[in-house]
Amino acid sequence: MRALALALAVALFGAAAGPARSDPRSPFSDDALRNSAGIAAFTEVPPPASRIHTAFHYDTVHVAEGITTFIEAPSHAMVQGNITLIVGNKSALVIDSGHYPAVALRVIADMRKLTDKPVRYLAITHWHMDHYMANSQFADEFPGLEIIAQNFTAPMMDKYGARYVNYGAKVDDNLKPLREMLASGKAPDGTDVAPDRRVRIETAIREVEAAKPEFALMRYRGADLTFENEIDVDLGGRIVKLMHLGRGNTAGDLFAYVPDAKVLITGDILVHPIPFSYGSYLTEWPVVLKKLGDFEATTVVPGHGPAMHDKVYLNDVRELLEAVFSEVKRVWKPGMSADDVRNVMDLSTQRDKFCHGDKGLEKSFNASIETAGVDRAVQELEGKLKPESFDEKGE
Amino acid sequence: MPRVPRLEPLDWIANCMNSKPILQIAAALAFTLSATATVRAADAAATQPPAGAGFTVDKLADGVYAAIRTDPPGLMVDANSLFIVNYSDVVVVDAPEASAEMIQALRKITGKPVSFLVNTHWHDDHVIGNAVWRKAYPGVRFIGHASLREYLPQTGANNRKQMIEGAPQFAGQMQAQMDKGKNLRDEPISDEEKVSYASDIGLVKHYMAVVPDTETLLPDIDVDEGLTLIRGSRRIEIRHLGNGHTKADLVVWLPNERIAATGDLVVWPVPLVGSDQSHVRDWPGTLDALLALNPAIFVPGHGPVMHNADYVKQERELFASINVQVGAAVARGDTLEATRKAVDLSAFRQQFAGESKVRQFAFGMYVTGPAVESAYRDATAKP
Repeated sequence: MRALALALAVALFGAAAGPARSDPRSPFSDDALRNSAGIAAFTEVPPPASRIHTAFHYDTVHVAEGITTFIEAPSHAMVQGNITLIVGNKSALVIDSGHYPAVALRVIADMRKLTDKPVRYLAITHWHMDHYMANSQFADEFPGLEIIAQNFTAPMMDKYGARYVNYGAKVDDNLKPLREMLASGKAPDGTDVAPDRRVRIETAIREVEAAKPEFALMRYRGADLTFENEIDVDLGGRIVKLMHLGRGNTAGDLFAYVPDAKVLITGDILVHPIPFSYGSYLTEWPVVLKKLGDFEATTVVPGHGPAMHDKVYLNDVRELLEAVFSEVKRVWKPGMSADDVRNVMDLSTQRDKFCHGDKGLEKSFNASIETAGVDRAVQELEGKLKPESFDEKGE
Repeated sequence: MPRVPRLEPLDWIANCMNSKPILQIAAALAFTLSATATVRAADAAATQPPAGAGFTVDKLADGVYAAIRTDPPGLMVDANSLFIVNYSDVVVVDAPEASAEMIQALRKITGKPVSFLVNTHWHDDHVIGNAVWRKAYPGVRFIGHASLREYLPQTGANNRKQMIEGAPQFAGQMQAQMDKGKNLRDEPISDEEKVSYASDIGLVKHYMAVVPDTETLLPDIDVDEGLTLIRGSRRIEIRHLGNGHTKADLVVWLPNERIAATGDLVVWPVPLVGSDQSHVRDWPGTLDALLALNPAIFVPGHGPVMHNADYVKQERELFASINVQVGAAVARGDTLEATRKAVDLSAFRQQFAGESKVRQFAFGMYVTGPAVESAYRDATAKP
């Protein structure tokens, strides 16, 4: 479901319907997203069961003593990375500010109920916009706040975050295909829109509409403090280690470890239920996951999805990424495109393990792993890893 | 061969230099600069601290001010500081014993709050003022090398205790020598030495007035390699370029202004070496990394602002030569004592100290003895 952030983003900045491209120029280009003006793809299948489908709902989860995560409950077309509050005796540190300003203000109000310690640090796990577009709201609410990012991440935030605030203007343009489907009762391929899909389209429109005012509230704010590999922050009786152990989901992945509580907060190095592999580094990422597994953590908080009290899923994801690269490597020969590889590879074991027949999850698996992930694996094998970027042009 | 004098009044220093705590002396001891060596910006007059504060404030670039000690060279020192005034906050380098006076000076420059203070290493003359800064600016956060977290509560606390016990006695002995018209070698005292001793005694008094009830504040953010503070177009890079004066040395580098605050990696008029804590073996490489940044201005831990790299290069050559000479001695299987005899630093002594008795004494105290020992220790250390 992590593709949703990009689904929204792609929809907003105008990845209008176009022919499927076998050689995506951007790690974020994705046939499913592009053919359906982004979010429309997610109206094709039911969402995973037992999710709350209210825009911007989140659960407040007590992770450990003084550590609380505000966990998104994914809705159909919206996404927001998890936000984690870590409280010490003197001050507090927050991991990620999320995607939407109004949501962040609600989260901040909840934080104030949990602690009277000032939030003095906000660490951003990586440059994807669903993790930091509410930085300004945190900075306004907590004077003297220091926003922290890894050296690679800070300029990427400056590049993409600063213009993301303008994408709200394109919301209506990009909802047009969905509205036409409702009006005509026909999908672009001429088939009838079934009643259950109509409900999902209406939900998606409602949720994207709900995001519109958020863009008007966004004011980009970048990092104040950057580092390469590690800094340790003392919150008073509690140290938070902010670390970067190599390229994985992005080249600037930051995660946090709280030794006294044995809590690992991973950002999108770990995403549940399907890893988010757009723009990622397929051979290096499992190495990072292996190192994360070596921490004495008893709790793992992913960038999206629920807090976990074992390392089973972390190991599953490592094995998945290793298996994907290994399978691509097995079938790839020089000259083969990613589509050629997809035609002959077999990831059914992995798909079944992660999706267990759930059509919604399979959609995500197809977009994130079989498409984006395989694209990246082929790029690696070709020795031509494309630079991470957000938009189609890769600028 | 210059040797560390073992005269009676110096036993306390000698003990400090030879014992584990060694460079706690750096807490208060060292040498300083001649006030005349400092180039003052014409527009800085309004921001000058009152006469007798012991330092001047020199504007180095827009929003960048160095607080530079004016004590004459001697055995006791207090540290320089740097104020980096940004759009909405101030970043300060080091928290010397004169922090209260430096805060007054900073407040003449700006009312903006201090958000960060960087401790360039763990010695008291660079960290002792942390609590004073915190009181003046409750929001200030301290940045230091990760090793401060272990060092300050243990070795640092012991060293401070020794200083508190030993420094007044040392000052008393200096005063007694002055009263007799003698220097620490019991020779007739020179005018230069009188000025130097008087300054040392004053610094001890100031230390004793400031230190005993000071709370040690550990870093809020600690680093192994460094970090960068981004303040609009200004970048403030805090970097551990390698070991040297200690293994906790941080350099504060402003790449746009090309200003480097070096901490005690660079100390004038003679380098400051501790036999246990310094790493002479690594020091030249660390200075190479500093020189590779190509700073236009160096703000040393002690000494005047330097507008070229000459002194830093001179210091680098000194340590490189010590390493070569000690390496040869170790290769021959020399003992430390034999190595001390074999190493010839007379040309460097001339270069750094010239005919000044005060500087020659400091060179013996802070270079010849400890630097050879440091290089010998690292050269013979088991891997």
